[in-house]
Amino acid sequence: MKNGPEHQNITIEGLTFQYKNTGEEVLKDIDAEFYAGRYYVILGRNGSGKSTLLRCMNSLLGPSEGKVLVCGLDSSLPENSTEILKKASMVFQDPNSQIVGSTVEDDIAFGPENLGLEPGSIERKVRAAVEMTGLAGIEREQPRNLSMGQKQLVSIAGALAMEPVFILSDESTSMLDDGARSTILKLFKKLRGRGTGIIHVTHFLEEAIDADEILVLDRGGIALRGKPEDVISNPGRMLDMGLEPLPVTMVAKELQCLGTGAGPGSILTVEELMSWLRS
Amino acid sequence: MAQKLILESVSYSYPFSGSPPVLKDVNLVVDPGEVICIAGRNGSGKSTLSQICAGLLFPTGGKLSYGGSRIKTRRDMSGLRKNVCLLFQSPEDQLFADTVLADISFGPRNHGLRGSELQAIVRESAEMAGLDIERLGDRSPFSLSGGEKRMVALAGVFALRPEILVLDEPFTGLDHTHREHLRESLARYRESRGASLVIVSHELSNVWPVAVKYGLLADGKLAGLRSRAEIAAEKDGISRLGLRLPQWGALEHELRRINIELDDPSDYHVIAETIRSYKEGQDD
Ligand SMILES: Nc1ncnc2c1ncn2[C@@H]1O[C@H](COP(=O)(O)OP(=O)(O)OP(=O)(O)O)[C@@H](O)[C@H]1O
Ligand SMILES: Nc1ncnc2c1ncn2[C@@H]1O[C@H](COP(=O)(O)OP(=O)(O)OP(=O)(O)O)[C@@H](O)[C@H]1O
Ligand SMILES: [Mg+2]
Ligand SMILES: [Mg+2]
Repeated sequence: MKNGPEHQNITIEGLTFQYKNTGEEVLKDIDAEFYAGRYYVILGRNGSGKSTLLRCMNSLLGPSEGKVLVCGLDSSLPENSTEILKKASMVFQDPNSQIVGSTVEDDIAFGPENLGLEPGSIERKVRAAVEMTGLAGIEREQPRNLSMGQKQLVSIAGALAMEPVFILSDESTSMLDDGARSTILKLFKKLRGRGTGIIHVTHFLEEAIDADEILVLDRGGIALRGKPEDVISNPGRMLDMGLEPLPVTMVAKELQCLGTGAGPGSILTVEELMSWLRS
Repeated sequence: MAQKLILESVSYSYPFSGSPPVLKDVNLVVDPGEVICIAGRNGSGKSTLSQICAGLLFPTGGKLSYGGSRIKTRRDMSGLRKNVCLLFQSPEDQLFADTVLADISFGPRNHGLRGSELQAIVRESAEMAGLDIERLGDRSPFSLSGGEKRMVALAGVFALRPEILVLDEPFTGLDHTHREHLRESLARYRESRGASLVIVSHELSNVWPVAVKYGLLADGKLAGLRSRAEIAAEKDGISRLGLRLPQWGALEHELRRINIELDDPSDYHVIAETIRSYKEGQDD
């Protein structure tokens, strides 16, 4: 049974997480709410806890303290984990760790098959995922013989075929060329329009320009959150968080310091800078 | 000091794949001390080419030579592997030991280093890779974050002190601070040892500050090496190859279209100053 729309969210309350082998507190007292139908971007330096946070949202890791509710389901209860995996599908940071099938198609079908769907419906979902990710033409290949970028697309397709409420994308665009990357970013927007929640981890601020909300993790806590124009338009603050500011934001800031009248304000794209210049 | 690495009409087909060759008639000369970026879309053959350069795959056609001696047989490749080291695109393909320290020590230990000498080289290599060895040295390399794994793999390659470093997407997964640190380490390594660098990257912005020559791979063919300026002038051709200019390059390109020329297209002071005088000129 599908939960009602009131449950189409991921709620995180006072989440603290430590890995048992090191005892290090990797996430500290995190509160957050993610809604379906929105595009979230998580930024943060290496080791800040991004992947750990995603694993907590998909019940792969249970909280040491606090609570994670995925579409109303408590992730600390083992009996919920299968249901949670259907609601929130992960694209892992390392595509090799996700490959199970002997052909691209089999690999994508793996998730839906585990849901016990009938073959016709599985086939339709796989076909759709192949088309959306631009894998058409190599669906009969062996995944282990693909290039890394192609493998990453297969991992994304596998998550899509689950038709989840949330896609947890752990740097899923990191190895994609420009064409494939924009295909996937456009796809994320289309899915958002259809009510899917996208939570995308990346090191590239350009992928955060269209986010509904950005969260910046630092040393296991949420250091900054808000809309792109508030969060990433300030180059100094981005540098403090170990992030690479968008070049145009540095130019805009410098123009402001030079005192050119109003300056272009908080702009994020080259197009915005050019239209200010022409104004 | 590195020597000349030459690929002459090299081709490569994966065994039993039944598909057309992945590389066709590739010519590449890596001069001593040079920094070359290999770019191209997914599946264009960048990783295949890196493995050939590093002596891990034997070309199915063409000639390969290092320092004037031809690599004629598979056995000759072990000589090449002593001087040329590959950083794999996926750190998981490179890491193997139980601890981070053991992983980085493996290469230099094989070269016969022990004790304080070994320790020094491991520490230095970790520093070059931006890895916090004090904190992570005793951990399993498989229980690290993605970026931390990349740093261990990088440190392992640095510890071998190769004459030519072939790095397959070394910046993937690293945050801004670590990408900058790596660029600096690579520049220092090249300078101090006269090493050559072959850097594969689909993200030109990562290599823009370090790479002097660019080789674009498409349909298994490598176009002749180009300079940074030549690449920036070919915006449309670049995007046809599945690549894009870094935002700096895109900005330069757009400004040039309204006749604003920049002295240094990657310095925001210069850009802002130039834009200000343009704007003032316009307002008068
Ligand atoms: N299995 C594990 N056991 C112990 N510590 C771990 C484990 N996995 C990750 N860590 C540690 O937890 C911290 C956060 O790791 P995490 O993978 O969440 O970071 P991240 O923000 O995703 O970093 P990156 O950008 O490098 O992928 C790191 O310091 C890492 O060393
Ligand atoms: N072991 C293999 N057996 C058969 N074909 C392979 C094998 N490895 C790679 N290929 C094929 O060779 C082509 C080139 O792959 P390669 O990994 O060199 O690409 P790449 O340029 O590195 O791509 P990416 O940017 O995605 O890493 C691809 O079409 C791939 O499917
Ligand atoms: Mg991570
Ligand atoms: Mg590759």
